Amino acid sequence: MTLTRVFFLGPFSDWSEKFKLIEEPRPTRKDPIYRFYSWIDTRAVSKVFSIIPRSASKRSAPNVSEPRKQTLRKREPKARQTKFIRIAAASIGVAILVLVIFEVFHVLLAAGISFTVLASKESLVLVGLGYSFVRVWYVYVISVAVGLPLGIVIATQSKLYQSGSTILQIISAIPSVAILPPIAILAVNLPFSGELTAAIVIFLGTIWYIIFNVIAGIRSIPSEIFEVSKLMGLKGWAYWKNVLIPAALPSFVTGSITGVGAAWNTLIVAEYFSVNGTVISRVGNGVGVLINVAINKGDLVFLGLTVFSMSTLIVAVNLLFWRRMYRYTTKRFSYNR
Amino acid sequence: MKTTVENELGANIQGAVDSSAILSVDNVSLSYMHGKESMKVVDNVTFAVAKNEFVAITGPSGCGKSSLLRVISGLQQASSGTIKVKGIEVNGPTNEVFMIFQNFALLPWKNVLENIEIPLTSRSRLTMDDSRSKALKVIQDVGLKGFEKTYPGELSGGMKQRVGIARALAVEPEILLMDEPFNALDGLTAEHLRGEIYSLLIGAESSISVVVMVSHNVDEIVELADRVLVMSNRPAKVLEDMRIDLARPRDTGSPRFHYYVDKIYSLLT
Repeated sequence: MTLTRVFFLGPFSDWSEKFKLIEEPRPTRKDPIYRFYSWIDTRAVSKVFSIIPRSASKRSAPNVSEPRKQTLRKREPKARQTKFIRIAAASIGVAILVLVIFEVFHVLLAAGISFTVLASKESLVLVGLGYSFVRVWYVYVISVAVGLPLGIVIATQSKLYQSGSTILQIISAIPSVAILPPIAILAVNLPFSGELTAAIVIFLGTIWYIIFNVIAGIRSIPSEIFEVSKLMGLKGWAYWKNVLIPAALPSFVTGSITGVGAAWNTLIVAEYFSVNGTVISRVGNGVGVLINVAINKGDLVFLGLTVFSMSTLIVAVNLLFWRRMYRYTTKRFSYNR
Repeated sequence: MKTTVENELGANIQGAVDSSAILSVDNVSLSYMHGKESMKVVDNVTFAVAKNEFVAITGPSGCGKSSLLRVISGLQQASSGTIKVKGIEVNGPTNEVFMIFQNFALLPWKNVLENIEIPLTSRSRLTMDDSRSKALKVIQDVGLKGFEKTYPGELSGGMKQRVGIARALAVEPEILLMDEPFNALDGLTAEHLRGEIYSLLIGAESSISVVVMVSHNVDEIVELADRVLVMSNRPAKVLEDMRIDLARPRDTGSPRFHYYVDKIYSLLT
């Protein structure tokens, strides 16, 4: 995997830099993630789940010029058509979801599992999920505190960029889960060893997405911005605050979306580590523990509830928080307007 | 850094050559390392610009004119030769020099007012209040009153460049560099802005005493510049250093105007 990164992806990413538009770069609209998120941002969905607030872009600035408004008006018939398709698609989606949930309950009840049992299990799941949620976010915050400045420094120092990005690619190619055993064994005598092990492994599963995205974001800024910053006498914190951090934001959010996703993936493995039934490292509580315990006990209902609750939480956070962050940063902080 | 004595000596010697030069470019060459080979982009360029002179630099595409402008601004180090501002050698960005960019170089996440205030606090070291009032004044001067809180993404190209101009005026440079300032604008907008820019830059209130503009639009050069340097293909050398003797405001339809346009075209081809 490491070899692939170094000999194939490394040169490939260097080569791709040649396609950087020095004049006026405008990448993000064709970005698959942008497309994905604009696709799920259907007003139909917003209508069905009316709790979802309108995204930032809908609250459009009052300063849109008159000709622009006219072009917007011209597009309306097509927009109405797509809106119809989206409402239809969303309705079908919701209908299928309701059917599936209904069917699941039907099967469970038929198997003699009562609502009270389900509710008591779900309450356990929710507590574990709360712990894991906090864990994901504090590790994410640490990853940001390290990854954002590191990415910016690497991207802005051309010597560091050449050597540093290769080194980082090599390190990042090591799957974080693979270093769980050595870390678990090393940390076994330390206080909070389970928590520490999990945090380190999740951190290593998250930070690369932040670093690499921040690097890519900074590298795609037109050179004029760096030049004018020098001429404007921006140095130190003022330079970071006014230029570098805002410039990194859109790609930082993209990196965060993937990074937090990766954090959840890693978490399930990192929270509970056992060999041949002997638990070597585990956190106090969390979905990773619950899933492992459920598998060991063979409690499929509990396992299903855990996975379903976790997925729901992740999707909800994506829709309610990340999508809006993505909209806001691409609207306000990128050059493609 | 040279000592003060040396600087004064340098200034005296320079003064003997051209007492009125605000900007002097002496034997400036610039080479890039391209792999293991060194590639020369600017070759031994020498010229001096006197007070209240508007100089245009033109030449074939990719000849190194923009690189030369970056050396003058201090953004890039010359491989050899010196840049002097009022007789004093400079080796980096200074408070005397500012630049207007082809693609405006505005910070998209800052509104018009903030874009202009930033260099005032960080470069000119003004207080917040002084920056604010200065920025508001230049915004009015360039005709952007009412757009203070607007973000660059909501402005047209011409208005964005007005912000660029306002920002340059606000920091009160002695020397203003312009890198193809009208190139990213549509024809009509560019024409409007060209008509206004000379009086904005060289007005009675302006601090600017030298303008150096890189352009490959010959009409634009004859409309604006007092003097034009025609550069060769890469590496850029000065082929011709020509005055444009036309009274202002310039009549773009006059025979004299066309005479200069034709002459510069013939030098370029």
